[in-house]
Amino acid sequence: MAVLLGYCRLITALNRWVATIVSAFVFIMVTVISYEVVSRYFFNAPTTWAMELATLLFGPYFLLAGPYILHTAGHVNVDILYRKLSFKLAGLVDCLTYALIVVVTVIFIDQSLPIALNAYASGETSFTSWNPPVWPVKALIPIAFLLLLMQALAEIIWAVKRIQGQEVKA
Amino acid sequence: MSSTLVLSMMFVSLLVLLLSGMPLAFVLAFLAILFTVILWGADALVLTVLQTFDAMTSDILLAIPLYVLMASVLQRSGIIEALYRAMELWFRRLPGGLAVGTVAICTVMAAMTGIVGAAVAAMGILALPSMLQRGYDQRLALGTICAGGTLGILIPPSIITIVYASTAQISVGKMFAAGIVPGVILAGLYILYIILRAIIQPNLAPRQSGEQTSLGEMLSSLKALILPVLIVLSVLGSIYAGIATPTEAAAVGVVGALISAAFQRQLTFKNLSAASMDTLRVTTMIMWITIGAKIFVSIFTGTGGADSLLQFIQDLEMNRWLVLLSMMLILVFLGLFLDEIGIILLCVPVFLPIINAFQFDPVWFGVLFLITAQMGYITPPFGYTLFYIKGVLPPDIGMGTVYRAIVPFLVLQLIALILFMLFPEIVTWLPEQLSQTVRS
Repeated sequence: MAVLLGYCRLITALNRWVATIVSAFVFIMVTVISYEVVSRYFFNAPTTWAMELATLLFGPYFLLAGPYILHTAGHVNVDILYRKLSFKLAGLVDCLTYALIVVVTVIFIDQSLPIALNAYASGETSFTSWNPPVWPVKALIPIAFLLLLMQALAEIIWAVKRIQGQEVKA
Repeated sequence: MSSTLVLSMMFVSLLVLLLSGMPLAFVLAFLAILFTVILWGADALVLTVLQTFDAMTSDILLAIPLYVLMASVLQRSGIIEALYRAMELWFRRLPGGLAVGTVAICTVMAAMTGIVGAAVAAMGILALPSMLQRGYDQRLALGTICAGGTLGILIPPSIITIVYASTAQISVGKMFAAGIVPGVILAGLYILYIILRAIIQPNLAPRQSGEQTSLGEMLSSLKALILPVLIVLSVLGSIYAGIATPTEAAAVGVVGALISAAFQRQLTFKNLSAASMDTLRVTTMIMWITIGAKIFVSIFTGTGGADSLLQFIQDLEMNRWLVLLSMMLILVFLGLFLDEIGIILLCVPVFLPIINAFQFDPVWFGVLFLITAQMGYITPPFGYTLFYIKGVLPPDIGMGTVYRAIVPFLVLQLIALILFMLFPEIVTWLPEQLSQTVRS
């Protein structure tokens, strides 16, 4: 049991750390886009890469934060009925909904991994004037969903604990 | 399977699964996967990745974290407190002055931020105690704050507007412009209502006596307005002068917000990291729903559901205004339990072909939708603003008072909605004037 709870705390700590790091990406986007505006408007020298770089950061920014937001219950839900459930029943419903999320993550990993590997193997680029390789962004989809899978499993373990009548959420 | 059957099955299972308390984003993704396998087999599941990648690389939706960051930085910069003090000095001699001033500040905040929670929470902390202490009627005070707070949905820059424009594939700049005149008219209606009530029933909003302020004091309080006005002008100005896209203008706005926070000596690491975590939370929530909804909707359109729905409606040979009314009613109904962003992502792709076929303007329809969204935000028991106001309510005021407080403002919103329906020019005039210069 201690091993399972240790796993839950470890995964949550990892995902919190990942979210903290990507939260800083927004400042890079601001800097890069402002540079583009200034350089185009004041120096008449538009860049080929600024807007595309900012867009490339956008996907990892929200995708990698998804698992931690799952832990903090930050994804919008409808809790009209859920709020009225007893502590144990809510734990049971949580078990089932997190299990469905596990199904979703497995399918996303299964579908996105070959696409990412293929983009890496073929050296696919974005076909823009800057033309960077696209595999890093594509590889982030299976990585983000793997982190989400591990977080959803941790939430299931905590939900089982709640069914057993223990409040152990870290 | 007929597409009508698929449509009804998809939406029924959506509602049922949502009631379990499962997050909307994953309900949509799970059902999309389920229906893809049922309809097309497991090979078609690759569309999940294609839609995810599409959302990840949208330079329009990229504007969302930038506008949210701008709002979060400004919220922590102490500007709102300074604005509130200026407002008290300037408006308190008017009948219902503090309430009028609250609407005025909400309008300014709406033009700076566009996030409903920010304005309601700030006014709940600043304006509510001040109004109650001076003997204002509880309902007038609460209704003003709730309704004023929702102005951010319509007045640019607005996050919901960006999501609508991106889903309906129209220019964000045009959509922003379309919200300005209706937003100001709504604020005007609120102010007019407050002043009239305060004149007819002076006991609802007691006038101040005795407190005299010198002209110099009043003028110097206006300094608080300089930075917000500059930020608003630089954001909207750079969009409509054709200097920057709405996404680029947002980045410029963030820089402006950082500078004004520095002037107020609030540019600390603590404030910055809190603002960036807030931004991450809001953006992640919206974008994960976007992914789920994109996959969900692509199945519906992929099976020809949207086409057959359009055919079905055209075969009914209904009056086009009845069609419009039915769509609005569906939006209001969904607004009772679904998040506004989710409603846009699910309904707009389905409604858009209908809007076009009946020759309605999608920009104008968007504004009508944003007003129904405002109504959804203050309608009990699930309106978002109600939850924000609950957090700052003094213990002796119950939620029942809040529910009764919003009724007159709901009626005002309905009046505005009917006004814009009957006179589309109010909405479409400004975007048409500005459409030549906007970058997209």
